[in-house]
Amino acid sequence: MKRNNILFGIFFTFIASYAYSQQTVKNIDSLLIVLNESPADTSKVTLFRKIAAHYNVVHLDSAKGFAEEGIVLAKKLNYTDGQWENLNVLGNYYERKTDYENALINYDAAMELIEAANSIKGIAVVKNNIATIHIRKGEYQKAIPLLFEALKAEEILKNENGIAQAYNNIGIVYYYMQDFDKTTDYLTKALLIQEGLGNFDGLINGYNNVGAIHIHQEKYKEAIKDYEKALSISTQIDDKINQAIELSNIGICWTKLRDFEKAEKFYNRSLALRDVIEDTNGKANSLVNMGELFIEQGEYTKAESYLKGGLDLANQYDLKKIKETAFAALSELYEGKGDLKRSNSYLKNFIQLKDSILNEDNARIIAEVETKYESEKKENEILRQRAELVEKDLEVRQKNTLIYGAFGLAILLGLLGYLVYNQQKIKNNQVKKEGELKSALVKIETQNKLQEQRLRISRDLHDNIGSQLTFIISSIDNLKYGFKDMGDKLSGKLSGISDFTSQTIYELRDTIWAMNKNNITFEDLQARISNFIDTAKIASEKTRFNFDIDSNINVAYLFTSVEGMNIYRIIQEAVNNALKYSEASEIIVKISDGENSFIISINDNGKGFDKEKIKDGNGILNMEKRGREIGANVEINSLVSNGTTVRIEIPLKDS
Amino acid sequence: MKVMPLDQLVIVLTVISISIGMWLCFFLKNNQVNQLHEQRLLILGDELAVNKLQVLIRKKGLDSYKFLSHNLSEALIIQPEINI
Repeated sequence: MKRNNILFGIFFTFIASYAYSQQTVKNIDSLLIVLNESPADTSKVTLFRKIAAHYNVVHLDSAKGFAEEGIVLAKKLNYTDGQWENLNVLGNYYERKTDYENALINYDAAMELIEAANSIKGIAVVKNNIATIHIRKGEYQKAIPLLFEALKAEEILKNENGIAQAYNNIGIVYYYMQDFDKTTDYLTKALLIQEGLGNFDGLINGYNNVGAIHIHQEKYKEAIKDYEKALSISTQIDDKINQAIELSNIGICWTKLRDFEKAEKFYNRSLALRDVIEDTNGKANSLVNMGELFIEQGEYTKAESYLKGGLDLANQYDLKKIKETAFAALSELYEGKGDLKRSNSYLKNFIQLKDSILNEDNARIIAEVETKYESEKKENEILRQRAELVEKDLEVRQKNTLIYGAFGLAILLGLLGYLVYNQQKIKNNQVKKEGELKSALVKIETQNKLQEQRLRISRDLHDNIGSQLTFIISSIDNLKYGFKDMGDKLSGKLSGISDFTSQTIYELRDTIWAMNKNNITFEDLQARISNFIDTAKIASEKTRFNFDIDSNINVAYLFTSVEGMNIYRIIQEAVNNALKYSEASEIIVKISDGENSFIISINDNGKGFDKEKIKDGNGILNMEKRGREIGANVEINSLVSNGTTVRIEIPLKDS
Repeated sequence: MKVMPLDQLVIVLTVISISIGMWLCFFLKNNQVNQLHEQRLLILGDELAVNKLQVLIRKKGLDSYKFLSHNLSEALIIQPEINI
């Protein structure tokens, strides 16, 4: 009978956390010294665990004591994590010893503590280890839920290495369930993670298991390469268990390649190593492999010896998978030997055992567990996405609120700025206006005060000096009255002084007036001149008066008061002289507009006089003097019997 | 029609309220400032008017000076209320 060569005793490497892992330490001696010297605290519990894990790999028998001491101390210190970690390492020890019953006892004890403490890390580690026991025993339906729980825990912890371990073990279970697509899928996932992490232990397992896939795909040379890679790493870290696995699997490949000499060499190396490390499971597997090798070579006696040895060990430790392989091989052996009865018997055993492993219920349970795991994963993903959407929505809302708030603040600040600016503008305008008014007030007050002061001084001057001058006149009059007999000359002189003094008083008054009055308009002057002429008309009824003003003249023109006064006095003098001396019947006063000047003429049709013969009297001298004072040109022209003209030309000021 | 979320509505209403409040405060303050300004302008105006009146009185007096009668005593009007 050709049996299914697929299950050729390929030894997959399960990953048991904290046992077949990178727990070997470089300087174990130092660690032991530290252990002896350290106080009995939680650190010492951890040291016990680390040393036990190290010896689980390099020297199995030494591991137990350290793990047990670690458990005792952790219990004493009520250090739950330390307790279950050491229980786990002790479980690893028993597992390596192929004592699966005690291994399970320790793992279960660890699980109790883990569940009480609700430790996700513990769930990830110990459930995986319990699952590997079930795998070894062919109890895949028990293993797979535990593996998915371990995977979930590793995902929560975001432990890439743990996730890779779980994928690896799930892949192995699918291999044994002959679902090779899923096997490839999970083992590839595991190897990718391990390569990314550069994890020795993970790489060993990854290469080992990919090698197994290559064997299944009958790519034996590739498989040998995979196992050689794994062997180099496990040799580097002195992991004898994995070395034995790789050597055994290389042997399988050479068997398939019909190089039996090489195959035997590798099997022997593997078997020797397994003897040293007391790996009963591995030893059983190696014995069965050797048996299959000799079947291929037709050496049935040798084959029978090895196969029965392997079957005994498998029965002793209830290693279902190895038993299945041994049954198949023995069936083939007895078929080769022609012992059909025995061959059939072993075949029957093989089929029964295979069915018990591969029955539909198991496959269904495993599929259901995986489906449930995938569904939960998807639901979690959906919830996570929903939470992300809600978070994003909240973020958007918060951003919008922030934008609204910022915009609102900007509006408020802008409005405040505008209102303050507006208020300031109003205040500035007010200050400016008030400033202008105050400035105008100060100016007018100052002018007012100055003018008032000047007026008061003028008044005082007039009152004092005027009264003194009046006193002089009165004194002279008294003198004249008192001395009626004085001569004409003296009387004349005194009259002259009196007249002069009177004139002085008038001039003083005119000066005081002009000092206080800045300007006089042409119109005002015209009115005064007109009044004077009206008075003269009344005084001299026989004389005709004409007062003409040129229509071009600007009546708003401003003379200074001195100018206005002097012009008036000149006209007054000229008219008085004409009335007194000329015997004129007509006197014309005319004011006309010259080229940049006013021209005033006082013309009479009287008897005139010879200017050569008549000395300029006070009146004429006065007129000329007044004209000079205001920058005017005074001309007096007279011809005997032809009247007299007094012409005054007053230059205009620049406006 | 999408309703504005409550927090954004609160922000909008707060901004509007504060804006109205600020505008009202400044309006009242400006009114007060304007009133004080008007009062000061009135005072300044009155003082200016007084001074202008005094100048007018003085000018009128001086304008009443008759060149022929030399009535200076009548023309020079002293205003004792002007504090030199």
